[in-house]
Amino acid sequence: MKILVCIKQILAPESELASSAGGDTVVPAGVVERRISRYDACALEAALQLRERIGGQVQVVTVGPAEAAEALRRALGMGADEAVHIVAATDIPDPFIVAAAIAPVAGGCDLVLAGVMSEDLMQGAVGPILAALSGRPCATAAVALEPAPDGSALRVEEELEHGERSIVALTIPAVVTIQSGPWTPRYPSLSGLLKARRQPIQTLDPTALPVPEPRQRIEGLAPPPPTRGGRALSGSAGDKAVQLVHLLRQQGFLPPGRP
Amino acid sequence: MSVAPICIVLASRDPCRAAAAENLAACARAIATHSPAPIQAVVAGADPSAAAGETARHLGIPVTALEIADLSDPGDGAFGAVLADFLNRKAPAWILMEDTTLGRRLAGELAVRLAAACITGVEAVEGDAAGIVLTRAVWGGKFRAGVRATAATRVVTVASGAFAGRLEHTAVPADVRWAQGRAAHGGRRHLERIQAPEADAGLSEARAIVAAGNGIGEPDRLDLVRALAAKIAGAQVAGSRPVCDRGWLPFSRQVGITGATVAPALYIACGISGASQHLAGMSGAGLVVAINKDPKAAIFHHADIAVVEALETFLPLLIEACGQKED
Repeated sequence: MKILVCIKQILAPESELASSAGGDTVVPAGVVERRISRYDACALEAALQLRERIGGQVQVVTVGPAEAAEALRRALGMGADEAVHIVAATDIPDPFIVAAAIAPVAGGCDLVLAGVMSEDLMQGAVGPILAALSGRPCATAAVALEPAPDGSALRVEEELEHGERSIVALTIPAVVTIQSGPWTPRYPSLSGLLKARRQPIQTLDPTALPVPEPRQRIEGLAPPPPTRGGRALSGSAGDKAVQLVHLLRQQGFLPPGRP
Repeated sequence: MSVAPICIVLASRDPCRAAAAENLAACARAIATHSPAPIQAVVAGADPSAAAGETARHLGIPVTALEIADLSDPGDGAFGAVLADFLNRKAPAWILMEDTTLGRRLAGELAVRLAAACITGVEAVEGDAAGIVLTRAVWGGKFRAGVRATAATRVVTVASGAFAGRLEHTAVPADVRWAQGRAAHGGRRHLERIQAPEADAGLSEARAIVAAGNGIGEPDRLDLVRALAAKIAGAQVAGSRPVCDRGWLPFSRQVGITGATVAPALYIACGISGASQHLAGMSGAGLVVAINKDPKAAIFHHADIAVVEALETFLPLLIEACGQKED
């Protein structure tokens, strides 16, 4: 089975970030970590586990700027066989443009996996759009994958809301987005990383393909409005602990202090 | 020329249909306030008549019962194909669905089939001279983005409960029409549903919850969280999704949109970033205390008391202070 995994390099949400001057994206505001979006790393892990069970090849693809090649190197280090970099000047926020750029690469694969959403834009749109563009069946938020012995179908357990799940059968070729649940992304081994440095990354120029009209754009990014008071405790860590205990005692959550 | 409608899409079998209908109708009215358009609903399923009647009475807007032949579940591939055919004939400006696993997948499919924009997880609607701007959470809830559609048709999923309690009921009697459709599975067949495991009664009834998030870093630090909970009368330990995903706490202890919804009098969030999926499960709590080393963590926007400290240094001090007398 040939599996394509769509990955995205993101500015990690726990990094120091600020809204860009144009208000259309988020930029570093101090120490930042760029890494593979967590759900995409889980999708790659799911692909590697499938390859271990039934054989085949795992190809990774990303649409992004030059530095996104680092994410592909890490994916190769984790064990992917091949990497394709669709080079874009910046991150593309429109999922139709991303899906349209990936579609020709996906054409040669039996199964396309992607994270249930990216950790940055959190749209969850590229997988379903790619499936619809390429006329393939789609399952989303998968927490288990079970291929048929002859490779013609896939049984997928999808996570719904509040712990409910559904089981669906997809014919291959198919597109599945992966929820983080059971897949813990492996660390690349040292030998894997060394090998990845020598492996070629195929680069594609998306302008060589017809680029669809954008259908939506971001106009402004701001921290969310507070829903609560958010009174910040001040002083040393010890001072804060004493203040918090005092407050919890006042409200009756802790017994009064011993005399 | 008639104005292109706003179309609400509901699955007749959705157990949360009534709440979804209110949420979507309130969102539709918010859009119509800025950009007037008729609002209609479609209730789709194998046998949608009763649910469609209920929805029409509940919302006071015209409803179409869309009967889909040979459908075993809204998760079957035929659902999206029939819905797309139906909506194509209506030529709506907006298609609104609940932001669920099913809703998000359908949103992508419908957006391709209707050449529409696809905007998911919408939490608020604003209008300006140029039209409508939709607000949605990005970067784990650290920021909110304003998104404008540049396509004439927009498929939108609305965050559960985002517009809750904002629907003004009208006494207008509403029509129910009937339509039917049939489609192939398109390679996706529904097999079965697995019900949620029993919710942890301890969590839903707890007076206080001490919750661990991704920021705890390593499973051993859960001992600190447990030790803190042991100091607080009636406190239970819970976790966010990443903590339960790693198996550090069982799934039954997960708070959030994919886990339990809780409303304790006290909620202490330890190393929780404040993603909207988590907030949805604990926004009803009384006093919220957030402890996180990232001063810009989204959780601080949704906490009453903010402590910017690393857990490994702060929790031992807090536990110790719990046992000390006051000056």
